[in-house]
Amino acid sequence: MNLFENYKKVIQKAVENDPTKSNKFYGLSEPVLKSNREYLKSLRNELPGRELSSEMKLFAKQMGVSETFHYQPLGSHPDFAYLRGTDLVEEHWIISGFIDVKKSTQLFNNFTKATVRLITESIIRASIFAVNLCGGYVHRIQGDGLMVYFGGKNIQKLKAVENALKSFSMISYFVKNDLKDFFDDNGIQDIHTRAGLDLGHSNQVDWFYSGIGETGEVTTCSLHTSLAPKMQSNAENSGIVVGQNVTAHLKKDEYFEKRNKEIHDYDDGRKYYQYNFDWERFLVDNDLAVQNNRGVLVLTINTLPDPNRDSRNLYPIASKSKPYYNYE
Amino acid sequence: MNKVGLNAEIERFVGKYFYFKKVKSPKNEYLVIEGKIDIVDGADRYWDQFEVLILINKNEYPYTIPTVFEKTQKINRDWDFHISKKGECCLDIPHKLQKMKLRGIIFQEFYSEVIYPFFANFCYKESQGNYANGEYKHHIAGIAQFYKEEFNLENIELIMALIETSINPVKYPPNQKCPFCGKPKYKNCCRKIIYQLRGYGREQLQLDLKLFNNHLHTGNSQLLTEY
Repeated sequence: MNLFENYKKVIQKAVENDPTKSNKFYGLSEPVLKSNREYLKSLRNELPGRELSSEMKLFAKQMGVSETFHYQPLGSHPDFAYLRGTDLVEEHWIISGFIDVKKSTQLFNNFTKATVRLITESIIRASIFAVNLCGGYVHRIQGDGLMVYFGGKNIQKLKAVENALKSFSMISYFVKNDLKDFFDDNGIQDIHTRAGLDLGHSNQVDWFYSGIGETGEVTTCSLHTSLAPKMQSNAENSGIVVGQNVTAHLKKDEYFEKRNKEIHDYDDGRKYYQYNFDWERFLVDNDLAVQNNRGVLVLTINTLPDPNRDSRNLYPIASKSKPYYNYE
Repeated sequence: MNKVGLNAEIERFVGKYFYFKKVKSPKNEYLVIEGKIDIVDGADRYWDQFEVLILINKNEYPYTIPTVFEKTQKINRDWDFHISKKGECCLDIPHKLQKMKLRGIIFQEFYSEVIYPFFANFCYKESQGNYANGEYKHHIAGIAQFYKEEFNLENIELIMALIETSINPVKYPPNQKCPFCGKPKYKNCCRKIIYQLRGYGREQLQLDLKLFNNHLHTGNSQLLTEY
């Protein structure tokens, strides 16, 4: 099963039909650009929107999520939306996450800006889907990055931690497994995600309305919301870095590798640490992915034979084996 | 590569294939790992999962062939499925395994190129009724089939003569008539086969010679095709 297949297909088509390479010597004329824009306009309709593909629905069903998502407006977490326009403050725990695609500026060197726009939009839509699939809330979109909250008033903290890790793992998977090889083949090197996640407990997070009049958003003031983007910038290629509070909840040492340097020094002898998160192992352990013969992850939630499998696709692997019997 | 090398290789393997872990070995000379193999095709479609136990001889590694047991019993314990009653998988014709053994294996490569395809091939057979690339007949008939497919040799006496020369080398003039098949230049025909046979190792060749000898003496040449 390829959960992100529809997003990937749109990106592939956009790249394959981009006129930049074929017009390298003569430059891009306005008629060519116009034709490209028109093609991309129709291609955009192939991106999954509110209506999910059958595979996405199946995945959602297996995760125990409704097949119909209620995509919330940005900047007003539904549980704290009542704070909008008020001076009220509420303390409530939350997991803050930042994820974006690095080296994506290379795209502008290879494609028209209309193609880049569609690639970026596809990644953003896939990410929004993954966040919603795991009960998260997209707070802000910044180019090819997202600021996300996980948690709220009707979910347990541990569950929200697991959801946050699942969601960011899926997004990392999408860019690393579905897109990276394709981009590499098309001369776009080293595109990858970087992500940071941290949990702030209720005594560490203030929810409030920030802004003037309509120019504002319901947001959090918390050391841990502020640390999450710092962790993101410390992450390795395709990596996710999480804060100590996250690791304390998910007591599985095998997923977390402590980084040498703390992410915050309280200046009173205490230090707050950051950890590299082994999201690939986490996806496999949580039955969200399996590994093929080369150990590469394949996102799947239903470990029953895929009804759409075709033996022609198995042949190249199966034909390496020619069994013999020599037992008595 | 020594035991340290094997341990490092297995650490690398279990660090990459998350369903595998090292387990206690009933015998000191073996390193044992157990885990699950998920069969996924080239279009990322899921087929099946098998639980396996893999034994690797620590003293011989890398010059060894791991033994693989299928634990889930998804594969019928029937010789048509190339598996023993205990679940030991017959991964390939011994000649090819022997060749790998003599060269030395890298476990991770052996997993993806031999172990994983064995289970993928079972899924293929379940789906299509036959193995993707055919299969070897059982026992000596499979050995005869191997010589036919690899070297286009059907005449048992000729096979035996070539094996014999491979084990106990005799120097024949390369540009003269081949003493085995009678073609104009020895260097262009049977000498190539004799050199290739050496890759399977003396032990395997002696075993083949003995097998063919026994069958020739029983006078029952049908045995070579009937299994």
